[in-house]
Amino acid sequence: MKDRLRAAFAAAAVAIVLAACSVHHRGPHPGQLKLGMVTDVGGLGDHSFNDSAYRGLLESQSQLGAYIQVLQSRSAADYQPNLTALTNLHFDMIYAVGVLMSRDLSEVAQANPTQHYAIIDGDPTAFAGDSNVVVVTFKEQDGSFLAGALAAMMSTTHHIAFLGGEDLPLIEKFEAGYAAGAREVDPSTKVDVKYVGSFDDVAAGEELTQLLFDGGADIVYSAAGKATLGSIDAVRTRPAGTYVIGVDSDMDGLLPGKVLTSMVKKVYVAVFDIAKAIKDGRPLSGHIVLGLQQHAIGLTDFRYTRDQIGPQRLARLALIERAIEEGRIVPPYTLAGEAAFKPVPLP
Amino acid sequence: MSTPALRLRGIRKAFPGVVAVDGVDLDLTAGEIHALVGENGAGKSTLAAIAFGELHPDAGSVESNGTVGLVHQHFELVGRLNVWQNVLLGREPRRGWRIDAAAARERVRALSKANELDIDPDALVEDLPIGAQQRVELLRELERDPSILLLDEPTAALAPAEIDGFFASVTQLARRGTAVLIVTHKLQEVIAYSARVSVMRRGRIVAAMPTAETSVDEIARAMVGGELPQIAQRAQTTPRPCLTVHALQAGSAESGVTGIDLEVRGGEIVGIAGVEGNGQTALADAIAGVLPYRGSVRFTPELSPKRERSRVETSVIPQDRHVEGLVLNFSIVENAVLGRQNRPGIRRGVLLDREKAREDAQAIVERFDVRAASLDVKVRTLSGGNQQKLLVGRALIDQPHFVLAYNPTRGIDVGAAALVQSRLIETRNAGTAVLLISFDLDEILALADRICVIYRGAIAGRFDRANVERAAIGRLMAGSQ
Amino acid sequence: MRRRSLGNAAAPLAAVIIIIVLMSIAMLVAGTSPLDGFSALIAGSLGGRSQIGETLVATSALLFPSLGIALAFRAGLFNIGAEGQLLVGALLAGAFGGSVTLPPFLAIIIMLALGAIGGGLWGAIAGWMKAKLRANEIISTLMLNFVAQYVTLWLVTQWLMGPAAIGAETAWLPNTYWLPTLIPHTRLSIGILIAIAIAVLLQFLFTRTVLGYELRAAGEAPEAARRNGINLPRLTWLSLTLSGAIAGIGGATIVAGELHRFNTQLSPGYGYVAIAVALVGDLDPLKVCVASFFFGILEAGGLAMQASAQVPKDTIHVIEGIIILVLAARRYVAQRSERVEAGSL
Repeated sequence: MKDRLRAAFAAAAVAIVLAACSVHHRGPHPGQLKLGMVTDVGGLGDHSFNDSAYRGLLESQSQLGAYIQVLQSRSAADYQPNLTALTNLHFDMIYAVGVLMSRDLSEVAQANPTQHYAIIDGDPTAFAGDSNVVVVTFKEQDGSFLAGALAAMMSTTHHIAFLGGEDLPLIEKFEAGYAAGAREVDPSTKVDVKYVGSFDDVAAGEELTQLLFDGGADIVYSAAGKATLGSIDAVRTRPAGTYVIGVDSDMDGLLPGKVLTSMVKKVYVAVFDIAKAIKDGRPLSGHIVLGLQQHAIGLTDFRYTRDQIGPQRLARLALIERAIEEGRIVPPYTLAGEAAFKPVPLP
Repeated sequence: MSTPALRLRGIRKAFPGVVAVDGVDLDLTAGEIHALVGENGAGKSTLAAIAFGELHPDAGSVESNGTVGLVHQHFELVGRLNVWQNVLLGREPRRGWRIDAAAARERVRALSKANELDIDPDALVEDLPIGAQQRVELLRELERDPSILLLDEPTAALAPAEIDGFFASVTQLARRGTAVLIVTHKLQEVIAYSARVSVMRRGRIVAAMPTAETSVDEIARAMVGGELPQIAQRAQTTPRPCLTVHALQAGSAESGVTGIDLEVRGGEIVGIAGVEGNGQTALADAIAGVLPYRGSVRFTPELSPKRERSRVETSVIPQDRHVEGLVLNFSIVENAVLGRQNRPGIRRGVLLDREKAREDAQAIVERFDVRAASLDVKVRTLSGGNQQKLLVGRALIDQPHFVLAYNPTRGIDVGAAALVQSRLIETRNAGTAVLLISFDLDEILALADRICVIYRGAIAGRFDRANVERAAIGRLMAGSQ
Repeated sequence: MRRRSLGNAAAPLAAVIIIIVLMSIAMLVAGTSPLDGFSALIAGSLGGRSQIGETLVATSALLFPSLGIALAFRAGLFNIGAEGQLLVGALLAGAFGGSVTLPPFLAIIIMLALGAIGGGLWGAIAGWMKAKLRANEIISTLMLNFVAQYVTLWLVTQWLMGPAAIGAETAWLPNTYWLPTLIPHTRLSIGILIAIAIAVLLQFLFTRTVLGYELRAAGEAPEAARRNGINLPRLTWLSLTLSGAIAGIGGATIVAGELHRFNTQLSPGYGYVAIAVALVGDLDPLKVCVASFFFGILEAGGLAMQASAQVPKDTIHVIEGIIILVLAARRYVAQRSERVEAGSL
């Protein structure tokens, strides 16, 4: 019996060695552009900004010939080890995706001043002194304003709702823009607000969305990262005329006809631009703010809901969009700004 | 003489560090009960396993003309299955793809009837008393109708009455032509039931003769390789009160005790005689403080219950040394401390005094003749006799006021048993109160100053050493007046 | 007639060999040469100061719960609640450190003590349930992990959220409350020294003290222990309390040493991996240190292995799971067959 076990072990060892000889090297080639990315705890598959950032990496791979690698974080304790592991392997650019990583990235960046980093949604004040970190933020209020305007136009009950992930300054931008957009169209529209308390608790996202619908709202804008997937589950069984608005990535196809539109944050644009700048030898630095004007923020093409919205509403939405681009409307990004916001009369 | 049913020639088997069987020839004859005796570790069980084919000899040949059945010393039964399921395990009669339970039950019933082994085919094995389990084990082998039957210490767990019934069955088997080999060290049984006897010592057969031409003494001398060990002499003592048990009730209705009065005084051994299963375990556990009871158990000088008990120098030699007495994965030193870990001298503040523990272990090993390669070997590696001597040594080393000894010599060889019995007497001579519970009436007769017979949880009779009458005790043990 | 082929000493070594073989297979499945994979793993874990620092950070995070688990297992209690115990200890330490102003040395001592109290309390609950209610500690400790997860989340989001917190976490500790760094320019704090000190203390407990002796006896042979004056219920809650306290100190050192605040997601499952570590370390405190280092190499090197050899790091966790299964089953079977084997000599 023991002998047979030993023989099996030996055979396995030989097989492994033989197989090993036939496998090619799969690491980066010398001179290849190396791009690394660390997700936050939402991880890949969130249909949100982690996925959007990953799309930017894939485009860099196909168009710039980059070697790409993603390390996912299962917990807050993973951020620094993941960032450090990529740093130790001398990647050309390391993306930290998500505001949750701000302070961890700051510590790692200060310890490795020659390494380039980028943080999506980072808090710019946390990186004031770190010249090796590019901070990318978005004017989420621009797109949220459009989402709010569309929701107010579509609501039959004049009652819409907002579901946030965690109650952070970042999400306040979504909430403020959304509420102001609704007021721009119809000041009598009621806007309910709830927060999940997490960006990855899909079950809680669904439950809270149900509550919002039960409370009388017929459209819920869910700015809750991966938890937004729960909101989409919630609208599945609701009657026609009830919608969810998705966030970050294009979620329209997840439940065609029920996802009114998505407020898309084109993180991939930023990821690709930063990679290209590195490749061209002129790395970006400082704080980059991307909004409607840069075409990095906006709604989707309404491919499943165009008929339900109708040409009149679309035309009005286009007017508002142009007004924001031209600076005639400045969507507020804080709740205080929202309270002070006065609808701008448009022709 | 007819051709042997089983013929072993030049058998040799070595395990790491020890030659268990060293050039043994043995013939078994059909229709004859052959006893193979020897002290623990003499190589008997190894030889039986080789004869059965369970072990391969390093050298020598095994020839048999027929199937061989082996009944193990330790039962290999499935407790959660019932009797017929155990007996027919893997060979159940089938009807289509299903087991034919009715046929199976009938087959086992017929088999037990034919062999006079009274047993209910539907009883759950784990509910059966040990004697009945032994019969199931035997039935399982008989079901294969072996022409050669090997029995390894078959009566180690049986009560006297069960032993008689068991041998009646075996004798009948032999009469019908089965060759039987009984591995044992109970010499009374050898004399009573076997036709031939072979004595093993240190892996060799040192004597072989027809049983009719020998005696217990001669066999015993051959086993130990010299004169028999003498049990220590009892000295004159002046008994003073130590343990008083009054109206003790404990345990279940079937196997508990129902109102026992008992007194054990310093300087005397009180023996509890009885057949297994008449409340001895409940009595022992209640006195040891591990079973709740009603009534009173009082020590003099007065002790408070539970925690104090270990400190006031009472000690217990439990029935099951493996489960209740020893930690098999601990060393001799560590086991020598068990139960004594809080006694002054061993405990120093929070620390365990390892030097003192080692000294005590050394003292036990020397005084109780525990044979081991070193004090640091795991107790698991010791033979049963050495384990038991260690256990007894630990219980007696502190010269306690009271010792409870439950079957202290069960399953160990003559030499070890004599030593344990001597130490118990010496402890008594030094003034300790000893309560001896034993299923072996001879042991009680040899050691006890006073004898109580226990039957169905109550004391059925009391005897002094001066007026003891063996036949009367035997009758009380069996439940008749 | 004994059938156990692997002695106790051989089991951990066999586990290590099995890990390496399984990882080789996983690498081949991922399409990578094991040579590339292992060299990436070694370079990523031991190839430089920063790498060694990360390896030791993981070692330290695993060592505390592993030692706690080893203590409980030695006493015969399958504590699989180290994850929850670690989390509760970390929460108390983080909530205290993020909100109180005291001399730094005192604050650090109190944080570690609170870690022990929090983890100990969590272990004591399971101990009490076992001793008084006869609740199986495997179930209760596992369930308490989930309770800990949600209770800490609730406490943090309701009351303890830091002022500038992003995510469910407490306020950051002031820099003066951070455990001193052991290797400059790495994240490694002196927490690992505390872990090693606890390992030495445990070794001392087991070999020199009456309590340690009673724990081991209760674990090896509960019936013999009970009949020899050992109070099993007391040992049950005591060993689960101590076990939890050690894991809780681990949580506190993660807070004070590496993360510098309490975050509800502070552990990626250290308390579960630690079960494998404790078993591979044969429940011997000093061997558990070595096993933690080995698993620290896997944790830290696994990232580099994924990043430069394209072998998903999760294969390591799959393999850790297999190890838990195999070794725990082996231990369970060994315990059950003890009764059968007892007396087979």
